[in-house]
Amino acid sequence: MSESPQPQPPSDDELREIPKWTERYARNRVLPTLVFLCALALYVLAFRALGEAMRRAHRAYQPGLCTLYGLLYLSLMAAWAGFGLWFASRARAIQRAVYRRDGEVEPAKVDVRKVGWFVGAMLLAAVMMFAISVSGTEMTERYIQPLFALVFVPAMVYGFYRVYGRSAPMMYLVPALVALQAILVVAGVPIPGIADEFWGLFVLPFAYMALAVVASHIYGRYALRRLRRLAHAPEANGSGGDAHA
Amino acid sequence: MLEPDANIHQPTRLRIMMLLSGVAEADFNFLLSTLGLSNGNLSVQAGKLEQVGYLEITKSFVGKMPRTMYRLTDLGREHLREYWETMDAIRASSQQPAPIQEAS
Repeated sequence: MSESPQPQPPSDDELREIPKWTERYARNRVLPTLVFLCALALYVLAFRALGEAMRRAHRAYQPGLCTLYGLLYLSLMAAWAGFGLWFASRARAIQRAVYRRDGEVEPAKVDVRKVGWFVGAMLLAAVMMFAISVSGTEMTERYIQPLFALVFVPAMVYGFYRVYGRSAPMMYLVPALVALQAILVVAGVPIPGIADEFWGLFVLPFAYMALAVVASHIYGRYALRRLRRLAHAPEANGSGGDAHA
Repeated sequence: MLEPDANIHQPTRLRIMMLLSGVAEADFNFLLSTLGLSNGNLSVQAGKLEQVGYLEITKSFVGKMPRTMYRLTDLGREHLREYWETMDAIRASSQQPAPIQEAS
């Protein structure tokens, strides 16, 4: 009867890779972010619908309706702030529930001071977008997304690099796709909605973020498989031993 | 004579420390499923690391469920770094060619 070959124990170099893959797995447990993104998408749609309703009511000289929509608008903002706070307080519990079978693992804390520049740049991008969109010039329709990308892409790459380094490579899909979209817009490639203020600046980035979250989750599963192969203890096979290979 | 730290050199304890060195903390189930050990074995090995001060074990409850979190201490991180330095030194010394004996 032939014996099945025993798996080779990992070498020292492979064992040294364990922290890297542990961190990669921990940083890519991002599936609960999809809940937040879906809620955000719903709120953006609701805000847009209410904004449109308010505009129409204003045009039709119906101050009562305008006030009602205004109140609804404020309630929606309060509900969004409430949801944000709820999600922040429950994020860990949601993650624990989603990844219950894997157990719990917490990546090293990120120093928020590291990403101050990133937050500043994002605020600048938001102010710039607002200023351009209210100016209503001819160039805004076509160039608002590329102008946004000019600030957003380097800020996001910098922010992600300071927070994740190379441990969550799939998150870089977001700035990469925003940059690609800007290039296509500037090149005048005729893709419907790509340069549109609503589709180009809200819907597509949401899609990019959702794609990056799903890709990161898949990468996290891969990292866990690598980790389990590297970290599988010799005792688990019943071989024991006092010193590693 | 170079000697690696015996508390870390045991394969399971080395793996526990390497796993925890990549993150802030991890719970019992994560270590159990990743290492593929039995409950008792993991508890014994982690307990030994806690005894020498390399590991901090925190027990709490989430609702009615008990939760045991493991965290590498600064001392543990320092000893793990020294352990790999020692292993590198041992490897380097074993790879040095033996001095050639000249025939007199």
